[in-house]
Amino acid sequence: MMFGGSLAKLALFLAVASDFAQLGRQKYAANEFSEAAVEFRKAVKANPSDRNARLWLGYTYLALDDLEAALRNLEPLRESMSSDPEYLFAASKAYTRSARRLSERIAALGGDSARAHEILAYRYRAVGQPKDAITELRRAAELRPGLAGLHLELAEIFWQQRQFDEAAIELAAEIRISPTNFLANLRYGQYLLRTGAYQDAIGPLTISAGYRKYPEAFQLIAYAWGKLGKPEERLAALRGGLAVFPGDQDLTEMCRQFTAENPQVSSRVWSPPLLREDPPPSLPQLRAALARTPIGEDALYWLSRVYSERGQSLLEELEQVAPHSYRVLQEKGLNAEYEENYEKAAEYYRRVVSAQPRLGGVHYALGHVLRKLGREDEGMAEIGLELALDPRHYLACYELGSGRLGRGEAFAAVPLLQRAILLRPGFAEAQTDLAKAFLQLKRWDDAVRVLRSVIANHPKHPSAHFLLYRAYAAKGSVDLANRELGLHQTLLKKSPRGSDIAPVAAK
Amino acid sequence: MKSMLPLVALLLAATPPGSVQFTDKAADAGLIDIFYNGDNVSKKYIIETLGTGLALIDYDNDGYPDLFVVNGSRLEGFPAGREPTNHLYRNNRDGTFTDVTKTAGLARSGWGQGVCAGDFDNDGYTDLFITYYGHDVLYRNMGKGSFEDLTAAAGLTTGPVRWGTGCAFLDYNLDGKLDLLVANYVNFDLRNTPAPDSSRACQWKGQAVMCGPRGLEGGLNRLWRNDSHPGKPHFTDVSDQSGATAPGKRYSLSVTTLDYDRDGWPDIYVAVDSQPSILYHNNHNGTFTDTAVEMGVAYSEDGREQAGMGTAAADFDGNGYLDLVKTNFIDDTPNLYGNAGGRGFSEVTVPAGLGKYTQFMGWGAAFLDYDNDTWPDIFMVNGHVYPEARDVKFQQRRILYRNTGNAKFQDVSAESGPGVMAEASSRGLAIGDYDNDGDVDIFITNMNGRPSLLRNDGGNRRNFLNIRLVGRKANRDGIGARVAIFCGKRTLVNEVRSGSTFMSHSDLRLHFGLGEATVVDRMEIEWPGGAKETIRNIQANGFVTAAQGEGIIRTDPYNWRK
Repeated sequence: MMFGGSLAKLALFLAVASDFAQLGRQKYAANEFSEAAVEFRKAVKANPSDRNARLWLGYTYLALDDLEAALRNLEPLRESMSSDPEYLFAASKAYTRSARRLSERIAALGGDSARAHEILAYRYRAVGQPKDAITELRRAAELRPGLAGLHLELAEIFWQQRQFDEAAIELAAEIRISPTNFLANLRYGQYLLRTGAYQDAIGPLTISAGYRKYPEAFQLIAYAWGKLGKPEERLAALRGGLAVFPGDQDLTEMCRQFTAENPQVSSRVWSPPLLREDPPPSLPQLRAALARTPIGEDALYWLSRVYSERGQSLLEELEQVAPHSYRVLQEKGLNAEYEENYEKAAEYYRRVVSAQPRLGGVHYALGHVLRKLGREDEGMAEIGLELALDPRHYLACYELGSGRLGRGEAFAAVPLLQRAILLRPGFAEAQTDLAKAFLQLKRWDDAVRVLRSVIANHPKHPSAHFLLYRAYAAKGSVDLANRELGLHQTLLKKSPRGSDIAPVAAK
Repeated sequence: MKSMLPLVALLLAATPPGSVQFTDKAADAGLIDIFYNGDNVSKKYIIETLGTGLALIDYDNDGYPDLFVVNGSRLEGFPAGREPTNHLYRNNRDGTFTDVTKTAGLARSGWGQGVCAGDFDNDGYTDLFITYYGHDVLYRNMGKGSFEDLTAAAGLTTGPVRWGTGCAFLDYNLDGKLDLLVANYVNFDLRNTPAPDSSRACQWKGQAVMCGPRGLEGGLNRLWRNDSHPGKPHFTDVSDQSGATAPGKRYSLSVTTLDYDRDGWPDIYVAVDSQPSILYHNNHNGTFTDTAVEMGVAYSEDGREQAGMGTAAADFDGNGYLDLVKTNFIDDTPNLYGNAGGRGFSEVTVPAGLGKYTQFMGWGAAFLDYDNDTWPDIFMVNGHVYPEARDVKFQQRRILYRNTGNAKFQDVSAESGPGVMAEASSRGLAIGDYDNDGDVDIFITNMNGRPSLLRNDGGNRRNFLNIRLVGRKANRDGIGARVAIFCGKRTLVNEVRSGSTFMSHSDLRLHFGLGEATVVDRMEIEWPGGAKETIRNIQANGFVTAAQGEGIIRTDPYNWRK
């Protein structure tokens, strides 16, 4: 009876959990994400082993932009749902967005943070601006001369541009900081071989071979020994490589050719000293560091990197599992957009829209990049579709409002911008545009109210002060206007714009 | 007078965009000299970046505008005897020009920058003022095809080296004599300015480039009051007491005069690079007050400082008040400021259709009714400052925005002929009907290149009126006079002005497109000093000269082509 009772209870729990999940899905489909989260939480509580409910909960938290909660619910599913495209997409997105958010936090640390400059450098590299990346990396190295990785990154940029001598200088600098860095030693070895310094190349290549990561390290050492007229050492390196990479065709062929040409040479199997890369700090350690005050830039940086690598790895798995899935296209679109390749992003988003015309967010994404491409009418139309599907999409409200304002349609812009702010309180860009609309409509008091709210949250916002000056001046409040103008001009002096030519600090 | 051929009547039908074509006729016209400004591969110092200006002036009073082009220099100089000079080209009235520089006495070398023109001594011949990095020069037109350097005699020699840029003659105190406002850019000293290859190099988007203007000391604008008497030229520096220096040291570039509040006194707008622009409001007592911030033309709409380059004024929306356009640096849009009845300006750049592009670096800007449909259009020239910058184009196309008549503009560059879409690193811009065929042509200076002469073909399919003013009590060139044309339902207004665009000076004659109207009901002239007169029933398609108090004293023939 007791067993039967337990079974009955279990069945009841499962049924209840299933009801919550179903309701949650209905709410999700209606874009009522907060309500959906409530239902999915109930479902998970009722049946903690319900993977789908937990996956939906993770999705819902993504929609609500609560990335930590999304990860909390998605991480436990890693093993059990590793071939589920929906899981892979959600988890990839959660990690990637978290990584980007952490990058933004790092970037916001300001000009005295080496990691901030490093993050900016990665960003510049991603959008194809290597010169700006170099500037940022150099600045980071000035701030923290002993920080590992900066010179290696510089070397990689120079290497890609075939500026090998410049790359070598950076590689040598990196090796001084991290004597056993795998890639720095491999590249440096390559450089030394290019310049004919075969004997000098042996050391760095031995270090890189010690990691047993790439067969190329063994091939290059064998090449160096060959140039130095040391056939036994050459054969030993080839055999050592084959011992680690038995299936490597290049090593096999090199070995075969050498032994055919030099049958008299025999040697041992060369085994370089084993080296392992230091693992990054563990995720729990990094997350614990995030909770401390002040947060160290290194903790932010490493967590961002770990998240970024996980996001990328999950995306690669998704591409393996479901290469034609609209989720893959959507993620590719996001990546293209991040790299400011808007044509490509638009192409991917269009394909997603074709496959899933009611998928939340994708019409907005498409419209947004179309506007970036200057295709204003098309872009606004897509964003309008998004708003029709999801009236609570605050970014769609904002962009439509902003677009209307730009067309001189201040009256039409106001309700859209107000809605964006209602959905996202404190949304400064929407508030500023709303203030501009009020100014155009001569609604001075409304403009004042909105701008004072912006300034309360962002006291150093020069535009907000300037717009407030305009509103006060229009109202005839001369003293207040002059005060705001003074603040605006003081802030401008501290953060000038214009031609953006900035003297670099003297070395 | 134009003969009334039936063909003309057919051609007066609505002319769609694209039927007006601009073609570069500079080479055919004989404008073959090179105008220098620094190195062409990389710029070491900011002195190499602004280019030069040009002026359309009828120096010989034959009714056809001639062309004066300023020449610059380069850091390494030139072999002795081969230094490039400014050039004066006389209009041969057949579409070609002849270089008369030497006979005119205008062959001068140096770091020439801008030019403006005005008959400062009211002798009936328009004079020239040329700005330099160094010392500016005043040339008096002696009326016999030659000029004399009166700089020292007129008291315009300054001790220190200055970097003059834009300038304008104007009668700011309404005493009938043309005064002079000169913008100054940077207190530039080669010894104190870092070069791109130095340890103190400046950077733009991560690339080492020449320094400035930020980080360098700005210049002070100068106002010179004309205190000349017959036979005794003299200018007095009233910069401080007039308030011209009150805004402080700024990187001032272009000067456009306009009576923005229609109080009868000329005001002055100065486009400033990387700092707030200046609007000198004339206080009627010999002083000016900078009202740019209050009037909404100092910054962008949301308070950003912009790198203002060229500027122009016209009534683009037909409300009777002069509006402003300003070009800016790359990664920014130009500004179009609509004048709200003299009480202030509103930035209408984006709703007017000028907010589409941020990839152009703008320089000379001009309003011109290129298709004679009564609505002033906008022409801009572009070009980067850093030839060495990667991922940006040093040479950029021009832009022609057609005024669609509802306070909006449409980019019609692609259908307006090869002259518009041609790419160059252009700077100065002057407009005027050089061939007197009834439509406005365009002259452009290009960095280390020959000037461009964009001949307008097709703009004269609609009617026009071209007016030259001769002051009697007011200054002889009529500079500062406001002309209003009443034509059917439309009222067209403009002022005669010296200078403007970018360090350049356009034909002093006012060109009004009249659309289909064949008669101007009335023309009202408000002369500097307050005198007003009305002239009625003026036939379209004429080149008329109106003298103060005398009405139309002359009508010149019109070279109808096609």
